[in-house]
Formats: sequence, C-alpha cells, structure tokens
Amino acid sequence: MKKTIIILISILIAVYVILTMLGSGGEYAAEKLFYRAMKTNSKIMANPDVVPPKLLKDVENSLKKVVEKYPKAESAKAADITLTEFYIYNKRYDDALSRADSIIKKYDKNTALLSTAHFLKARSYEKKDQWAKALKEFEVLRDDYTNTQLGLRSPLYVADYYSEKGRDTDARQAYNEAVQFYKKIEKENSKSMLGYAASTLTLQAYLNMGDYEQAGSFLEETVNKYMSPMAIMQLLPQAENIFVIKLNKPEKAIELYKSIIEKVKDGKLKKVLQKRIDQLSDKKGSVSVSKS
Amino acid sequence: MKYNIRKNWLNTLDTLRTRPVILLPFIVVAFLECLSLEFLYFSTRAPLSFVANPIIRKFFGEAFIHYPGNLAIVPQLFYYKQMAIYIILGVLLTAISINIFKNIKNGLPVTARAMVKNSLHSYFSFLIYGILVTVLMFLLKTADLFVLPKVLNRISTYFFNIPDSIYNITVMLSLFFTNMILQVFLIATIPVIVIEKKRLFKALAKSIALGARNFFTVFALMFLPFFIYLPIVFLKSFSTQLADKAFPEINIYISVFGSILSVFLDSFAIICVSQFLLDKNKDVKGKAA
Repeated sequence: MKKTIIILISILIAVYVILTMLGSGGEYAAEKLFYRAMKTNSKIMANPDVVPPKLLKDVENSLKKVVEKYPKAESAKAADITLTEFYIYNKRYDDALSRADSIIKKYDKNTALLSTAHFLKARSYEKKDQWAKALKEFEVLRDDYTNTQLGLRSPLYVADYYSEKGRDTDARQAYNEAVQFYKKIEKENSKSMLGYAASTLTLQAYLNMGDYEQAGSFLEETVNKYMSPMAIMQLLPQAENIFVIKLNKPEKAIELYKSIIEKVKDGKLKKVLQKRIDQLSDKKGSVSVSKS
Repeated sequence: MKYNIRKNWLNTLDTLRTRPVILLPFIVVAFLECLSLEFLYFSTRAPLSFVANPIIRKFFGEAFIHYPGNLAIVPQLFYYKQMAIYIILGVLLTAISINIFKNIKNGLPVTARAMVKNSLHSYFSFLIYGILVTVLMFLLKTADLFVLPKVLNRISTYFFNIPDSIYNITVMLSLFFTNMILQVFLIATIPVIVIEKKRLFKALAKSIALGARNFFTVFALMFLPFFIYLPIVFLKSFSTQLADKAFPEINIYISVFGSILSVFLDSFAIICVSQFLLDKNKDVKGKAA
C-alpha cells in the first residue's frame, strides 16, 4: 500500500513539475506579478499617510519588473500605465512625464494606450502647475484621439478645471467651446455611439455651466434622436435632475415621459415611466390643492 | 436496544488503523481529484490553455482566463469534476472499500483483483446510484436556495435585520444539514448492495427504511466525520472573500486539503455505516435463532 501511495504522489508531483515548466514565463507570470503589485498598491491608496517607504519601493519595482521582464505581455501595458499613475499619486511628476513619454514612443499604434498616456501627461503638468503645457496635451487628446473616451472628454475636463479654479470667464468660454465641439462631433457621427456620447457630454457641459433651460431642451432633442431603452434609462436621471429639481417644472418631465411612452415598445420601460408620471402628477396635484 | 455509537466509532478507527488497505480506494479517489485539480489550476497556462481558454472564454468570459480570475472559477469547476469522479469511479471504489472491510470482518482473504472483479459486477448499479445521489443533491440544493432566501428575507422584513455574514452562514449550514439528512437515508445503499448482495432498488429501499427507523443513530454515526469536514465547507463557501483577503491560490490549498481529509472522513463514515449494518444483521439473526 505504501508503494501505491508513493507512486500516486510521485505522479502528482511529476504532473505539477511538468505543467509548471511548460507554463512558466509569459503572460501568466506577468499577470501574477502585476496583480500582486496592484494589490499592494491598493493598500497604499487606502491609507496613503502611513505608507512605509519600502512598500512604495516594492510596488514600483514590481511594476517595473513586469514592464522590463515581460515587454510583450498585455500586463506590461497595464503596468506601464499604472506606474505612471503611481508616480503622479506620489507627486513624482517628472518620473510620470518620462514614463508617459516612453509609453507614447513604445506603443505608437495603440490608440487607447496613447490617449491614456497623453491624459496622464496632461495631469502631471496640471499637478506641476504648468497649465499651458497641460492644455496642449488636452488639445492633442481632443484633436487626435476624439474617438477615445479620454479624448472626447478633454474639452469638458478643461472647462471644469477653469470652473474649479474660479476662473469664471475662462470657464464660460471653455464650456461654450466644448458645446460647439460636441455638437460638431454629434452632427458628423449622428445616430452612432460616438454621436450619442457627444450628446451626453453636451448635456453635461450645459449642466456644469448652470444653463438648465438649454440643458432641458437639448435633453429633449437627444431623447428624440436616440430613442432606445438603454439610452433612455441613462438619460432618465438627467431628466429628473433638470426638469424636476433644477427647473422645478415637473410638467415638462411628464410631457417628455408621455412622448417616450408613445414611441418605445419596451413594456418594462413604459411601466417605469407611467409610474413616475403618476407620482409626479400626484405631487403636482397635492401642491395645487395646498396652494388653493 | 440502544445502539452503542461510541463502540462503533472505536471499532471503525481500530479497523482503519490495523487494516489501512480499506483506505486505498479512497486514496485513489483523492488522487484523481488532486490530478483533476492540477489540470484545472494549469488550464489557463500553456499548453492546456490552447484547449481550455476558448471554452472558459465562452462560458465564463475573458476575465476568467487571466490571473486571478482563472482561480476564482476553479472551486466551481472542481466541484463539477468531483461529481463526475464520484459518479464514474467514486461509488465503485467505495464499494471496493466495503468489500475489503466485509472480507476482513469475515476472515476472508483480501485480493485486489477479486475485490475489483466483485465490485465491477454491480458497476451499472453504482453508476445509477451515483447519478441519483447527484441529481437529488442538486434538486435539494436548488430547493434550499429557493426557499431559504425567501424565509430569511421575511425574517429581515418583519422581525430583525439579518447581516450578510449571518445570512451566508445560515444558507451554508442549511445546505450542509440538508445534505447530511439526505445521506442518512441513502448512505447504506452501497453497503447493502455489497454486503447483502441486493439489487440497486431493493438496496435503496432498505437504506431508506434503515435511515427512517434509525434516523438518530445513523445521523449520530455520520455526525463526527461531517462535523470535522464542516470547516472545509465553510471555507469553500467563502472562497471569493477568502481569496480577496488572503491570496488567490488559497482556494486550491483548501480543495487539496479537503480531498485528503475526505480520504479519512468518507472511509470512516462508510465503514461506520457498514459496521452498523453488520451489527443490525447480527441482531436480526440472533433474534431469529
């Protein structure tokens, strides 16, 4: 019996060793190393004020190791980006900039990575208080990477930056430019995903500059143009925010919901909208009664 | 007359200690489980990934062919593999183990070839039994998971709020005891087929009758091995949280440990019940004489 057990255990060990050898290196090892670095990084992010310097060094070294040891692995790309973010988070902006530059050189055909690298470059300049340089990066993002999420959002990001800094004139101008830009993109890519994304950003720009009347009428336009259950479900909270909360015109929301009910076929969505119409009507009724 | 459970346990332990060959079929099951676990563990790495990755991608998604997502599905896939091993070989090997025990008790020689040959005669019955037990366990689990959340939600709504952790433990314990109660009625089937040479459905009927008439005795006999295995069930039901708090490979270690522990616990449970069956038969013969 002992002999049998030894044979069975030997088989298990042999299979383990063979499969380990055959699967060593490559993508899996890179993923494992990257995961461990990310896990330590998330611990750092959770409590950044009491991080021992060794832990920071460990994360940096692990991420560098993924990039250098497994340059062809998909995880190397993610590690490159994470390392840049890590430098920004730890206020090492020059390191972040040189890492972002190396990403731009290395992955010159990967649009998603390039747009992220330009965005991180812009963020590094912004943190360094070199807004003019940051602005240039945002312009590159806007003009060359319009099809990416970061590229499309960059005009709004710039306007929000001015708004946060209290530069109201610059902010208003940037919001207006963003609206023009998004409207142009929407027109060129009407009824496509990009067109829809541009529409939602136009709406966001109107909201951020506090122009709720414009936001309301633009929302109606968008709903009529992109009449799909998914788009409507995404736009419903905006409709509530604009018509019910900001403008205090629930009747406009009711009107919009009624027009949607007439046009969509989705039973569940119709039910949700009808329920909301009833709630808003009741509220409106009780307000009129209390006023009278 | 009250059955002496302690004596049964001590006899079983003594038999397993003095004649460890009874454990061998269960060691083979543990070996097959560990081997399948190794293949699952390496499935997303070359060369197994060429076959496994398209399948995993189709049924689970892209995230599960990458680390650590690949390890998150291992417990679930391992459970399915354990089921397959149990149906195809596990029941047969259990029968061989009981056969060895029977021969030892009757003072007959234990020859490997004869044991295997004897058990292979009833392979079809064992296969059907394995499928039946698996289907019943699945149905009970489904029923449990359908009813229990509703009951717990009602309690939360009308009486007091049940925290998530308590909720999960309650569900886990409920599944554990449901499985244990099912086993009370079914566990004697294979011993009856092997010891009394009865056909499957007659053995099944006898096992159910035995479980019904001696519910607390059979339950108590099985309680010790099931109770020792409870921490493994507990750890397995919190595999996602455990991997997140510790490290993703921990579930693999738990599965390996569970398989090794099962060698002793499964053999102990089945030999306890076989011993109980032999004692019962002796009682009946004694009364008849």
